[in-house]
Amino acid sequence: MATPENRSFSQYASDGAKAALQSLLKSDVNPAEYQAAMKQLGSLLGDVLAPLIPNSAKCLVVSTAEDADYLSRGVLDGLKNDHIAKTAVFWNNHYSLDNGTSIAPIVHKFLEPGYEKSSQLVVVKSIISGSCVVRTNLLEVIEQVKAQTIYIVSPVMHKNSEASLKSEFPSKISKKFKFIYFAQDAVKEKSGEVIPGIGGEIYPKLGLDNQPVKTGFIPELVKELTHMH
Amino acid sequence: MLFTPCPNVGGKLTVADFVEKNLGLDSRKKLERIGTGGTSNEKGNRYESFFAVAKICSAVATSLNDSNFDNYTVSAQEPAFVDDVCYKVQDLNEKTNYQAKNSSGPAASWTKDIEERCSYQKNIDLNYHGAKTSKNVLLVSSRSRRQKNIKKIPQNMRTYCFCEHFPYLESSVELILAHKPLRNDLEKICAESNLQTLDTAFKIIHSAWATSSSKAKRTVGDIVGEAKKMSRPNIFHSLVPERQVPKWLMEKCAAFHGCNASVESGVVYVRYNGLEISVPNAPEDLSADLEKKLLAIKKVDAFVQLLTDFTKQSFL
Repeated sequence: MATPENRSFSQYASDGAKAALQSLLKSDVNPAEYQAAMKQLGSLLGDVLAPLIPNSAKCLVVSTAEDADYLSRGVLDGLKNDHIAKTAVFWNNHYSLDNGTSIAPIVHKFLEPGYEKSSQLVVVKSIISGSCVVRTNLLEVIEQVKAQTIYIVSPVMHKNSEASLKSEFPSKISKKFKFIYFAQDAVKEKSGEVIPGIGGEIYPKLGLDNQPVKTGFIPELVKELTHMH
Repeated sequence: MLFTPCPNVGGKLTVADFVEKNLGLDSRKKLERIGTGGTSNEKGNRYESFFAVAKICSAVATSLNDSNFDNYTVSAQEPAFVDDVCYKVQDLNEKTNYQAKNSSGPAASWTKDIEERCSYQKNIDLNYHGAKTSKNVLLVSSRSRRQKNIKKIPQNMRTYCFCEHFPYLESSVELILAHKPLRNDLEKICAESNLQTLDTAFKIIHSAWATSSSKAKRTVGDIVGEAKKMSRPNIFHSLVPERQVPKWLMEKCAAFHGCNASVESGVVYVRYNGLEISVPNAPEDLSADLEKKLLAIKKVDAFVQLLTDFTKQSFL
């Protein structure tokens, strides 16, 4: 399998991870295939993550609403085999201000009861470009959870995202960051889209019309954890 | 130095004209040099603009009780000898000018040049702008530098010359965490303490401050008005009118065990087993269509879906 231009792989990228990343880039990929590939990537990331966290440690997996049922569920599946893992899901409204600053305030939230006792934060995102959403969701819980380690988990990151995210936080927080990803891409378009990234904007790829806050979408994961069914 | 009292009645005289008339051509040239040679480095700009946002937040937090936000004006780079940030309190007719130096080195020292500029500025404020009180502040990012500077300010200038400390941090999160007064003000404005909300509020006010749509001087009320318009959702909860939980919502929540509705700082929330749905646009009264939909809803997931469908209308 040829490596896409401007992409490098991390030590964690197995052949399976590379193949799943490649399947995200197919031009004719349908939402069901894309969802499955994201879930698989989540499971593989969870498999990387699980041995790094002591079994006795309690984890909080922090997810966006769009990633909850696929990438984050995969990560949770990987972790829950031998860890206690709670879930937080946030509905961000991601947009740019007049001065170009990107913000993503949280509109709705799900915080699984008992989440405050977690000592390991796992912030999951399908792609990290400007790191605005990751930063926002981390800020939402950072003072409620006494995190010893903060894992930033994503299949693909832009090459500058790690430094960009670290620069937003005081060193006493950023020194807790551990970045777990499979691929790092060097190219980003003016729109912020990382190339090749995850093949384009996540919402239509997953079969969503828009950001979940704009469609009223409620992830199945949240329905299960709130015992709605 | 004595100035010819020359209030700018009718706005016929510019500041530069006033300075030339009272201080001579060299001073006018110096004023114009200051105006064109403003700080152009990224760190300096960030320091000044973060301080301006902190002043805006302070003014808003101070006047939440009477909502008299227009009593305050924060502006930058006006024609002045002390020109980085200017803060005016209208009802006191008080003008405070800040010269910002985010350095712990000699660049942030109290000097004869600063003394002269403060002296000139005081007279411009009193005699040109007609201010009742003029304060001139050297703003520094180093606490120890501030201590040294305070000692250098001549006794006879200490009624209108000051040195204050404001920390320099690279990011808004770091500043909010490091500068307790700013955090307190943001908590008052947002009526909550979550760091994410406070940082988002800071960023929105910063954008409203930095991107003026007109060159006209804006009051703090104007800036906050722009910030509210930019905030989706509106996170400036202390500025949201109070309301009650709609009766229909209270009754429907009661139908599902563990489902609760509340209003916090004017925003309606519905909570269920860890899920928090904000419904800022929940209607007060039931329409016939909504009543029909509610009657058909027997399960909590359908109810929650109805609520998120309401909220999405605010973001389309």
